[in-house]
Amino acid sequence: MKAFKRLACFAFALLLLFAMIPARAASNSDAIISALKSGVVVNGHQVNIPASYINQAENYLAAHKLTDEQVTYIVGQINAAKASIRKAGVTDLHKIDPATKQEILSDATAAANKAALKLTVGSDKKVKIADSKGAVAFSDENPIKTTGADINLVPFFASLTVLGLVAVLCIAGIVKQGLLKRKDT
Amino acid sequence: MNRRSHTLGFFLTPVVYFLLGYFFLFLALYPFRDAIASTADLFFFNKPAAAEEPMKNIFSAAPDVKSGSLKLRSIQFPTYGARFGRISIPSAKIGADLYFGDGTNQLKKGVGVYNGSSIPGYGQTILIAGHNHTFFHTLGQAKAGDKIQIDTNYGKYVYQVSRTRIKNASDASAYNLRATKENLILYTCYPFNEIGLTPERYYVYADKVSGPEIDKQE
Repeated sequence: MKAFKRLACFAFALLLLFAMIPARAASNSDAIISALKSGVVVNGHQVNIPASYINQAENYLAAHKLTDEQVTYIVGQINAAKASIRKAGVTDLHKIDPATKQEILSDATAAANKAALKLTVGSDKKVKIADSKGAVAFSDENPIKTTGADINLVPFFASLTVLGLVAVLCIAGIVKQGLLKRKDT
Repeated sequence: MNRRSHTLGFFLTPVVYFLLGYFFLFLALYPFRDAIASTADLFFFNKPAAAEEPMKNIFSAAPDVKSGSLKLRSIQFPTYGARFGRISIPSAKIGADLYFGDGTNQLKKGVGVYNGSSIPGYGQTILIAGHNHTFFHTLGQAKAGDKIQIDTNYGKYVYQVSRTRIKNASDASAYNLRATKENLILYTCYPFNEIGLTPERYYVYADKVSGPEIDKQE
């Protein structure tokens, strides 16, 4: 559920992102990014987009250009998403109902497709948008990566428990065999 | 009959023990499969991670541009996965290729700029990751006042280390991606000699000293 909420949050950010894509001039890009940074106002409350999402948009736009038609289409999708958010009347994107979330996700997928990108949701519930070559345009991964071969504590202790059990069983077997041999002699 | 079962046992017993041993080992090591695979991949294999684009290279040597302003249109902005520069910290004996993006492929070949941060010259936060057992193994030797040089495909930048910190990987207070003043953050897993359980990260914070600014309006 939490992951789905994040997904909806991301999808909304994505729509905002692509709605702001410039067709030609870099100055348009600046205006678009400014609009992205302004987020959306719901019932008088400001809803902000995570800075990492905005930066990813900014970086992608700096390296790629879209046609006017693509931009127009994507703007339509973002407007639809904004309308959905306003209709839901929630200021916390984590509290959007499932139906609205699905609407936003569908709009985001369509927007990505129009920009020749593909939106995928991984088995870890992480959202990624990439082009046909696999070049990442957006990812909602944690900004801080695993810079070593990371593992987490739960499976670590589970493994220790299993290994401990095996060790106990082995020792028990050895002791039992030893006792039996003594008995025989 | 008795002899037959003995013969059968002679062959079956080692097989059963072998299978049981394998099963327990598998059970015990299963949670570590990702760590083992990634470590093995890091040290022994050179295949690119799935679903990631082949690495591009847009950097050969940095143009001798150390100050002033650059038009955004005039530079080749790196796309995800591209090698676009080189970072060096002489005091820590660090020298590594700089990639845009911090995925598996990039961190295997060098250090990577998080694509949700910015590139040098953009006037924002530059968040760079590197592995603790390769390129950033000696990051702990970088002290306040040390210089960090970043050469890119569009100019040369110098930063000065202001402080270092050790924080949990999930601690979002370690970075500010909304910053409007250019700052550099390098990080790696901590402790440096540990490959496995590393919930902490070692951060090196630096301020910009010199380098051309990128004019986003142009």
